[in-house]
Amino acid sequence: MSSAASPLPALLAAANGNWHMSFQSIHFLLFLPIVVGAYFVLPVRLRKGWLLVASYYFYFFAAPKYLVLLLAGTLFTYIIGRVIGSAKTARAKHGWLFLGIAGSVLVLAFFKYNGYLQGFLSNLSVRFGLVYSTSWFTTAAAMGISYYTFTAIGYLIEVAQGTAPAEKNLATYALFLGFFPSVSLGPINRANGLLPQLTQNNKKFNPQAAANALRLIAIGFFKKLAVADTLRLFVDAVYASPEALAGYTGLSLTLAAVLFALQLYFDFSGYTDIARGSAGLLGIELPENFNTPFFATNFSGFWARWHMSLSGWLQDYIFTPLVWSRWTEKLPIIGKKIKKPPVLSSIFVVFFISGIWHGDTLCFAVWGILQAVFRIGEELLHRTLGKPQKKPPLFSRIGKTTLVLVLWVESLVFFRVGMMRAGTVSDALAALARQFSEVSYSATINDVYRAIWNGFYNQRPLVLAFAAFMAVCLAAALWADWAQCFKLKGKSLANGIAALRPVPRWFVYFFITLACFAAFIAQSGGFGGASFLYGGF
Amino acid sequence: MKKLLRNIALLLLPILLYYGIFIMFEPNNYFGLHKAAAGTDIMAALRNYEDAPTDALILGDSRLAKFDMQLVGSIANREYANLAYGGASLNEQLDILDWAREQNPQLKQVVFMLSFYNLNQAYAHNRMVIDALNNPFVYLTNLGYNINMLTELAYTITGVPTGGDGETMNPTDYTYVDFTVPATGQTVTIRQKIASHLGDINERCQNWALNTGELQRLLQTIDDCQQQGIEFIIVMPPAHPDTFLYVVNPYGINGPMQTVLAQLKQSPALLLNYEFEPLHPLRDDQFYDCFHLDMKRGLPQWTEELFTDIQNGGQT
Repeated sequence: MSSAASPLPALLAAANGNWHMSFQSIHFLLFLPIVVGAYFVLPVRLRKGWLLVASYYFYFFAAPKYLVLLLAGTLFTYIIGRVIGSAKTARAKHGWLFLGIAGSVLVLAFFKYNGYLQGFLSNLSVRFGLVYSTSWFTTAAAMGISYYTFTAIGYLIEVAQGTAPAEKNLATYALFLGFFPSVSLGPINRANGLLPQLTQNNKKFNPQAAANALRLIAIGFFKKLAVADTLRLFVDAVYASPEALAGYTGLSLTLAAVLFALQLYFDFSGYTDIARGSAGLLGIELPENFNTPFFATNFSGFWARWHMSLSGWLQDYIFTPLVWSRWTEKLPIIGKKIKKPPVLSSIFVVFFISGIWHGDTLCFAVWGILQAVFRIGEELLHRTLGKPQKKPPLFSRIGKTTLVLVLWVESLVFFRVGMMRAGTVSDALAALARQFSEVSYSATINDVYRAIWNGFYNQRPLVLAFAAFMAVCLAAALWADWAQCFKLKGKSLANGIAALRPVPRWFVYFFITLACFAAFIAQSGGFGGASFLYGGF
Repeated sequence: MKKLLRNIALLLLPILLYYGIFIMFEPNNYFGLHKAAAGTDIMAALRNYEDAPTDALILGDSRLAKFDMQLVGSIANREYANLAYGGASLNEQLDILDWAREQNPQLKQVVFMLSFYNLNQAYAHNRMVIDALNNPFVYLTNLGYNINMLTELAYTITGVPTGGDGETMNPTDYTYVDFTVPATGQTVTIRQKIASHLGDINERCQNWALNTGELQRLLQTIDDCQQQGIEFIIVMPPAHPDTFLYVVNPYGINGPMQTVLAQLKQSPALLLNYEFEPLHPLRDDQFYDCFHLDMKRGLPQWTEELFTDIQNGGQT
């Protein structure tokens, strides 16, 4: 078929070019109101189909190459789910569950860790003189595969345990995995959370709920565009390559580590707010992912408030089954001596899996192991010194929060170096070691100036304006986080804004809108611009 | 519902107002609402080329954008499409060339501007000219075009006529100022226009580094053009001697540029180097500022010299 006869090449070019879809693209800003408007105008029986078409349209324009993979994964786990649901014996259920999990994990592993496969095949081809082309296995991370695979595995486990029914309607199940607000970076949905909502399509448009959803979307865009993407300039400059990293002085490395921790948080929590807000416009509630984690006073608290949908998934589907299985008792030689449930070793396993889930290099494994060490160390401290007070004195609270933050920020150096091309554990260790060796304020100010100059615009007044904008937006975002934690006691920031008196409320609205607009222009409307950090995991 | 829509409209009002101003003051006449573009009207030039492509092209920044095209035509005996425009970066020039080659497979000649200034790593902005041509959203949201518009707006508010003083000045009107050379700290008395431009150039060049990626892309493009039968002419436009005295030499830009020149001489392109090796050096009063020639006293002479040299294949 010629390209003139088929619209596919033109569509593919559009999806890979200026009509590429992501939350911060103009395409999405046009797409969302059309989807929401049509959803409430269409007859109830057509709404689910409409959402499915919209979700696949979103995925096609975001990652056209991998739509087939999403469809295949959906069909595979749908069939397995149905078979598990109709299996008569526990043995049969577990057999099919194993097949479903193994199949899903294998595909996930292939797309996440194909770099290792390439290396292995390349070595084989050299040793045995085989013909081998790296292009056979060259794949970019398939968009959302980590998230929808975990969603599917969770669903299969629930069906096998009998805590959720097997979904009979293929369209509903396809929407469950491919729902556009959550398909690219989660939150990781649960069968009992999202599936029942997708079958209730007779909702009426609720202006108040829609206003709240819009507030959430606006907060999300502010975190992403005005905070995370502005911090990115300096962080990306420092972590551009191992050689670049080695050229910075200690204070710049420390600043980059702190700013990366903030960038990661505001990027991912901003994404989640946009996802939850977009679903909220359709009357669908997605799980929360963050709840002011930087104010946690211990690591168990931190992980209960950071990437909550993943933490909860790991807790329910790996940690708890591991502890109940008493797997350490089955180990050869030492197994017979172990009589207690394997809590600490299971914590280690969970964090190690979390590390390698994030990336395929040793840096991510080290990062996961460090989280395990922090969490296990804390558990041992609690066992030795007793459980901490529920409401510790202020100074103790500040000290604990600071300690958690410092350890988190420093461990993220491994994480960020892992994201670098050819970044190694020794690069991360060298960066950590040099953090306090050279402290030069003027060198750091110059580094920040240069990063903005090179990454934004090479004119002094604009560089200074950008730096001021970055500082104001970061301060506002941190203050909002503080207010959410201590003033709103963890309740939604969108509700907090809605409860303000009209003048401050409209001030906040205009501030967020104009800051988002300025940041949107600063990154040229996202055309050829940045993506979300967690999109690569 | 009505209240919600009203509130959204109220929030979007400042943005709509901004775009009203944008459309009024954008210097490229993108929407065709002005009689003439305040700037170099690159969008109109690209659209003209799209409709009626010529077999010869001029690509570069403002130094090549202001040629008298009638004079060029009379010397060269051929029609050129002048796709040069203010502030064009090397990657933008190469993007336009790729697009132009796609538009016109019969392209015969390319006059391509190169300079130490646009080979600078820090001068690699991308205004996505071709994407902007086809997609108004790209144009409306691009940082570069927004800054161009705000600059035009500032000119209007402060009363500076658009296009400045036409880039021509009588030597009797020159004013002289003390200028402290940032690279060396010495103070010199020089023409005000030169001093002010040196300040800008210095800011961009103090950490000058060769943009090796774009240089490689240029060399590859030259090879591709040769295979396609396109004559590739690299023009390095003249610069005021003070640029060398106070920026190029103190920052050690000359050394890496000599390596670049050696590479270009080995390429199939014809290299016309008026920047580092001027055959007919120009007088001080023929320069308007460091890079731009006086529209009356300098540019016509250089235009004639350049296109005669091109006619002669670089033999003068």
